[in-house]
Amino acid sequence: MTLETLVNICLQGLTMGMLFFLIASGLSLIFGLMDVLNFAHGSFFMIGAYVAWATFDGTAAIVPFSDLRFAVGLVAGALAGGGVGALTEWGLIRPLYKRPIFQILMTLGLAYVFTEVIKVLWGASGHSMARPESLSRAVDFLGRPFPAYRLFIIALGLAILLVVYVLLQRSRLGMIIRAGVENGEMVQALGINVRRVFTLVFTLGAALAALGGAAAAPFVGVYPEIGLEYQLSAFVVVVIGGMGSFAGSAAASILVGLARAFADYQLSPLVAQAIIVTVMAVVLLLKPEGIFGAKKGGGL
Amino acid sequence: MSALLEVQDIHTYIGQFHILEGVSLAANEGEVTVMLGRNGAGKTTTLRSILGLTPPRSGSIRFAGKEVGGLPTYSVAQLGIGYVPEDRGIFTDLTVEENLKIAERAKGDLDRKADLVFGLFPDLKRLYRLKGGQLSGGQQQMLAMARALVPDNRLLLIDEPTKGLAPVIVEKVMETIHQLKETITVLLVEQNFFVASGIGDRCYILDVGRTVHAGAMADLVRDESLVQRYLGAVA
Amino acid sequence: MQPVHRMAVSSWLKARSPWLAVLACLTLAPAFLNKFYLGLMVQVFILAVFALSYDLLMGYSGILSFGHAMFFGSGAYVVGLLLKGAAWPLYAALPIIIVAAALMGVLVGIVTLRVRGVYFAMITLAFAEVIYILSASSQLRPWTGGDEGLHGIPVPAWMSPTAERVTFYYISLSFLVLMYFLARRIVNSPTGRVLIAVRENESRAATIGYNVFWYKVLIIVISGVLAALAGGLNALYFRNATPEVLGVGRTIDALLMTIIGGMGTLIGPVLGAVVIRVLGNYLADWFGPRWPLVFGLIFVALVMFFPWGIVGTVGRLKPALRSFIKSECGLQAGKEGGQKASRISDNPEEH
Repeated sequence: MTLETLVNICLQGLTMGMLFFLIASGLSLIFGLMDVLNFAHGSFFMIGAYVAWATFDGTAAIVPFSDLRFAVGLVAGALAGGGVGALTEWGLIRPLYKRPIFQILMTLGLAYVFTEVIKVLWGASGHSMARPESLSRAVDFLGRPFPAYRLFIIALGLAILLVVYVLLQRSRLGMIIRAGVENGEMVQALGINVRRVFTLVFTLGAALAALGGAAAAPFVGVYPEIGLEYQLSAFVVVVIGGMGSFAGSAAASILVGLARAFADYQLSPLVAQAIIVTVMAVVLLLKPEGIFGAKKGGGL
Repeated sequence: MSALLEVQDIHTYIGQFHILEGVSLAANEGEVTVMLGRNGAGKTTTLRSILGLTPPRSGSIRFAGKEVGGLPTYSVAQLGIGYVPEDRGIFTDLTVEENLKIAERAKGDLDRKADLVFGLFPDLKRLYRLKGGQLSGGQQQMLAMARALVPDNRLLLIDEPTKGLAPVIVEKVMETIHQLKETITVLLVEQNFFVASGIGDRCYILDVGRTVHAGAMADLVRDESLVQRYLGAVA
Repeated sequence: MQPVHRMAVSSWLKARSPWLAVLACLTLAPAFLNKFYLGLMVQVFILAVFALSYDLLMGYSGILSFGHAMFFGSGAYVVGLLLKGAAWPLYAALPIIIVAAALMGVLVGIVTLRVRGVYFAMITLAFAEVIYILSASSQLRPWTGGDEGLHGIPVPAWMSPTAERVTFYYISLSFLVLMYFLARRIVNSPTGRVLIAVRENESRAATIGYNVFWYKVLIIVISGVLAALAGGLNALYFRNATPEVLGVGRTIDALLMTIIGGMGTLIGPVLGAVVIRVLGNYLADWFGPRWPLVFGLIFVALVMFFPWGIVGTVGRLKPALRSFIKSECGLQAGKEGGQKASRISDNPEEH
């Protein structure tokens, strides 16, 4: 393997890692804070992808600037995901906090419903999405061309990582989230309405996943199974990173992304996927709280 | 002297288990009220029921003349109740400063209360930047009590503050609770009869989920048979 | 015969008369139903066993698996691979279905039972997805037929689902009855009671001295074998095995049937299968391609408003509405209605 190939695979891995991060970070925080394992989280990724694609393609006749359409699509995708997420938490998850098993069944059912809605709206087969003009070039990276769009995803992921990290570490909301992940009861006993924070975190997590989907759309296309597919990777990431740990899910995302890229290159994407799930199983067996684990347990 | 907190015949279930089968008690303003009883008598559940963490199915809880039974936990707390749970409830991933700041109900609470908090717990200043998880058990206990003093609370619910602490620290905690009496009403769960009799004004004995005795602490100290019956070896 | 025995027999018959009547109707059904409806009933019976096996896990043992389709699908693929690919006779394939499912159950159990609750649900889903991906992969196409699956599985002529549908009907009916009594036997056995104890309070069951882990593995294996047999019969009936039988949709089917009927009741999931397949048949006609969406919405509505299903809701309404409201306040899944509250001897505060 030459150095250039190595660099290329690493960049490819980072790209995937950032997409994983966008979906996994919300999943992890939602679980850590609310004890809700959200099986519908991939749906927000899917919704983001579809809305971004629909916005991008649907406005092609009116707005000639593809960069603008793309930016609008990204924002629309994230907003749509966040909006659906907020409604989901408020209307369907919240009434079930006293019945945790049914809460999980609800999210699984919702994942199914959302996918079917998407199929009704945009058909069961996939669509490809063009990249915006300024990002469809290849950038020279260490003497080899590298698609600018992937660099964009990496930059976007890093920017979000930084913003969320600062939010968690520096703001009062972040402080409450970190405290709530550890001991939600105590946060309430201090006079803080944790339920309101739940809705906020769920919405934020959904919006992040949707942003990931929107960013992924020009990269992998849109198709109904995209949500479940990325959700599976996100599960692997949160297990390795530790449920409820933001830093853990960031690190694990990059790790899993790189592993995927190398396995894809050496083996086949299929085997790569199977290997990564196996790695997850091994981690669960040896260290159920995750390698960077913050929160123990996971009992219902 | 009026009762700041009045608990009337509460019944609490955890899952299908009937844990509290009629607990009544009152905490008078400016006093230290102590709840005694064996393990499993329902003392912790009583505190949690007052806060709505395990809401009672029946009975009444009045705080400062207002019925709080059925309110969500955060609303009960906002009325002016601070909680120091048995496990101290310190956020191990947050710094000491953050552990105090998170208890603010209005901006600047900590600054306003700095004299009180650091007057009682001067050590916390030195530990300000450490994470909660890096503190010793005694330090965590101090931090938990300090945290409950940051907002304008009128009542503190303290659950077994001396459990697992070295004798020297136990003295210090007792001393602190004694000083607290000047500013705040305290409802204390304490297994250590020596500690309880040293700082309590009134006391209640719980047994199998019921209040079985209520009276002045001083009277209980003299009533050896009662102590033997409900507290056994603890005394 | 002594009078005591006669009385015992007659009271036994009396207590079960509604069920015997149902069984009699089902036995006589082929005389009245046409081929289409017989086929529909066959599907009901197969799905009922699948749902039954899921109830053993979720309803009785409190194990929430999102990968149950892997057992159902494995049964289907074993039948497909052996009968079509290797031209084995059916009687030889049967033990392989059981052995394969049991092995899979042991493996899944040992790997996943180290974790509990949501982690378990998540990892079982991941396993099932991997198997689903593998089944649909183009690299395995020579064996599995890739995303199209295996079609035209040879079925012995005497039980052909098309030419000898009545025979197939009786086979499926006997299969369901047999599996139902097997499952009933299991839940009423000492093992079943331990599992219920584990569901109610795992740490307590462990304290008493039960090896909770192996009991759970056991029930995963039993439930997995039942599901795999149902999957095998499914493959014989449709003469195919496609990745769809391994998909999440299948697991949701099982969940839906169990929840509609009432979890932790065994008969509930069977009723659930009737509702889903028979009602589903008409709904699918009315809604056409939108049917899966309607199906999903029904599921969501059930989870929200009728979490105890048909049997559970009826059972709860009987002792009075009061206990229903009580049970809504924070009881876990599948608890028997009207249970008397009791104190436990150890310190409940410490939990």
